[in-house]
Parts: sequence; C-alpha cells; structure tokens
Amino acid sequence: MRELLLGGGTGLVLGMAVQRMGLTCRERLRQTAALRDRQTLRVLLMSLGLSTLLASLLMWLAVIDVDELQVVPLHSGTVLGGLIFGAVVGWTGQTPGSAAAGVGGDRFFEGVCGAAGCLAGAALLPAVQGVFTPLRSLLPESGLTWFRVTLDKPYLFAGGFLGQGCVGFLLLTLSLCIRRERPVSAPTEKPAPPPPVSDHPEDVREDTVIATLPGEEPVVVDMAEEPAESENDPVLGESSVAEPESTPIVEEPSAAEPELPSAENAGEAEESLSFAEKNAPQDEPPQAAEPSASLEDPLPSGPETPSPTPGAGSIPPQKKQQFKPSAKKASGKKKKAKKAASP
Amino acid sequence: MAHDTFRPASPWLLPLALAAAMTAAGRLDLLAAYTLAGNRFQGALLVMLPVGAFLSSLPGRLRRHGRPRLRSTWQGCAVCFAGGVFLMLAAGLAEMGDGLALTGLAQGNVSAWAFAAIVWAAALCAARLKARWRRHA
Repeated sequence: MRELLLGGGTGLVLGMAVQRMGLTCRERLRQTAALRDRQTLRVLLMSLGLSTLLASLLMWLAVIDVDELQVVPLHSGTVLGGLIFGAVVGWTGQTPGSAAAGVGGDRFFEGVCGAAGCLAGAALLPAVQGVFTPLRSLLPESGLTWFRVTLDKPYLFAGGFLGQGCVGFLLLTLSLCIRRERPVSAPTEKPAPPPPVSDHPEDVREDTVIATLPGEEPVVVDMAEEPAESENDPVLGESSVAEPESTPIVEEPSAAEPELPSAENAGEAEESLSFAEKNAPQDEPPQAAEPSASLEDPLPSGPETPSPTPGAGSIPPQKKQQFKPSAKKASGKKKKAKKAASP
Repeated sequence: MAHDTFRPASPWLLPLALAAAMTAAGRLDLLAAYTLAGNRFQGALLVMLPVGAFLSSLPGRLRRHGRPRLRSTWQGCAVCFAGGVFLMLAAGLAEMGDGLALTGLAQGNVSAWAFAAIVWAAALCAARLKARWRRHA
C-alpha cells in the first residue's frame, strides 16, 4: 500500500512536471532537441541541475539509501540503443514518459497511441533478447560513477557527494547562461524628416525656385527632389504635342484668383517657359525665366484654369496656342463632303 | 504555432519527483513499468503520470473554455504508435529508458551520461533533418 501511494504521488508530481515544462507537446520537444527552443532547454537544464544538487544533498544526509541505487553498466548496447532512441525522439518528438503524460495533455489520442506503442514494444522485448545479447557484448561492460557515491561500485573521481553537487551546480549555472527569449517589438517607423525651411537667401540653391504671389510671402520650392515629373507630364512634354487627343492649352493670365503654386506647378511653369520660348514669334524676344519670376500662370492639367493678372516681376503673358487636331479631322470631313457633293 | 504563447515553467517539480523516486525505490524505471514487471511503485507511477499532466493542464483548459489547444491527427497517431514501439526496443537494447537516464544523471552514472549525450546528439540530427525535409517537401 505504501509503495502504491508513494508511486502514485510521484507519478502525479512527475506528470505535472512534464506538463508544466511543455514536454507533452511533440513539436516543442523536437525543437528543444534541435537546440532551437531556448526557453524549454533552459528549464530542462535547470531541472537537471537542481535534481543533481538535491540528490547529492539527500544522499549525503542519508535520506536516499545509496545501497538501493542501480548503476547501469556501459556497453555497446548503450551506444546503439542510444542512437536509435535519440533518432526516434528527434523524429517523433516523444519519449516513453512524455507519451504517457500526453494522455492527459491536449492531444489525447496521440498520447494513447504513444502509450500503446510503448506497451507493444515492451511486449516484444522478450522475443528480441536473443538478438540484443550479442549486440551488447561488442564492447566491454563497465559500471562506473563519476564520484564516489556508492560503497562498492568503481568511480572515476574521489569527490564524493560534494563533487556530485558541484556537477549539479555547474548544470544550473549553464542553464542560467542561456538567455531568455524576449518578445520582439515591432520596429517603430520613424517619421520622415520635414523638408528644410529657411528664410536666409544664402540657402537658396540653383535648383530652387522662389515663387511670389501678389500680396503673399515668397514660398521656396526645392526642385531637386522632383526632377523627372515635369518631363513626363503629358501636358507639358514635347511628346504630347504630337498626340492628337491631348490639348495642352496655355492661356493668358486673367484676373481670376490664382492657384497656390506647388512643386508640380513650379515645374510646369518652367517647362511652359521653355515651350513658350520655342514657339514665340521672331519679333518678340524670348524672356528668360528669372529665378525670382513669380508663378502667376500655373499651367493646369485641365482645360480651363484661371491665370493671374500680370504684375511686377511676373511671367509675361503667353500666346494662346491651342492644338485642335480634331479641327483637322473636321476639315478633312468637310473636304470629303465637298468632294462627295461635287459632280 | 498554437503553443507559441506557452512558457515552460516550474523547474523544481522534476527534481522533487526524482528525489521522491530515488528515496522510495532507488530509481525511476519506466521500462519496468511498461513491461508490467510486477513492480508496484513503478506501475502506480505510470498510472498516475497522465493524471498529473491532466491536473496541470486544467487552468489552461478553463481559460480556453474547453477548446483544445492542439488536435490529434491520424498521421500523428500512427507516428506515435510506431515511435513508441521503437523507443521501447531501443530502451531494452540499452537497458536504460528516459526515467533511468534521469536518475542516473542525478546520481552520477557514467553510462547514464553517455546515454544522454548520445541520445541528444542523435535527436539533434534527426530533428534538424526532419525540419529540412519538411521545408523541402
């Protein structure tokens, strides 16, 4: 009765230990064996270190009877069996103890099948003893302990229980050296730095356009960040001239309220100047775009846009240039109609 | 994975269990328990092992309102059954299982240390091979 109670209590505590360490999960055990799960490895090593320390203390206090300790001999079967055991543990992620504990875990049916497999394997053991016996005799047997913890078994070092305790302390220290896995926080996105704003005239560069509107303060627009937009703009680019459907209309500045200049408009104004220069008549000398020229006529992308009245330092009014390829088509239709009408 | 939020804890439970086993019976022998060799201590230990695991998993089950965290699959069941058979055969060949290895480590057996080192090396290779096979499959 005493054996049953002690065995049941020990099994209860052992089951709780296996579950709390997460070893009932096959994937976690596999990751721990592959040295990928640091947390479980740390807890396992800590348990081993504490076990060794506690066992050494209890053996020294004579609570554990050293005569009942079983020293299993080291032979070739230990090596071969260890290889097969380890391969199966690494592949399936279970041990005989974790398989039994898995019956009480989340995966009930897998735990039952694992325990059933262990029972089946244990039932086959008497049948295969004839094969195992010659495999165990390949290497000489030796039942050794590291330190002198038994009265009659051979040992390697004369440290006794203190030496064994030091081994446990080393395992504990090794477990504390394994860093805990801390949750990785998402990197905070740094906001883009605001564009530099300066009132000093020394900060004006060559690629800077200063736009002034009547009654408003000058606005500095840095054109260096947007070099290619104006070139590909279908309204302002030369390729748009050949397109029949596009209507890049450049109108004279009017008295309507002007649009606030923006970077695009500044680029458009520059291109409009160059385009106006190209298409301006001979008697009118082209006016070079001054850096301080005001952008009173921002060229729109749409058909109708109001333009401001010309003021001091403003861009001179530009000729109306309308491309109406549809007019050509209309004239062609008229010609055809005339031809059809004539006998 | 579903168990990413799980944190292993309570490293002091295993030493208590091992100390109790070594005090009461001198060793933790699951191999003898599975062979039903008539050892009452090891047999009671094997029977109460899943009960202890279930009691420890109760707080998590109550938090999840009874929903299982992981589910069994028939492939997993087949793998577990086959794995169990080979595990016991290997333990019989080595005359040492995981329970005997743990108590042997605690008391300083050279064979237990050699068995644990060989098992860990083989498990490391097998686990990494399986991970690579899964990635390429």
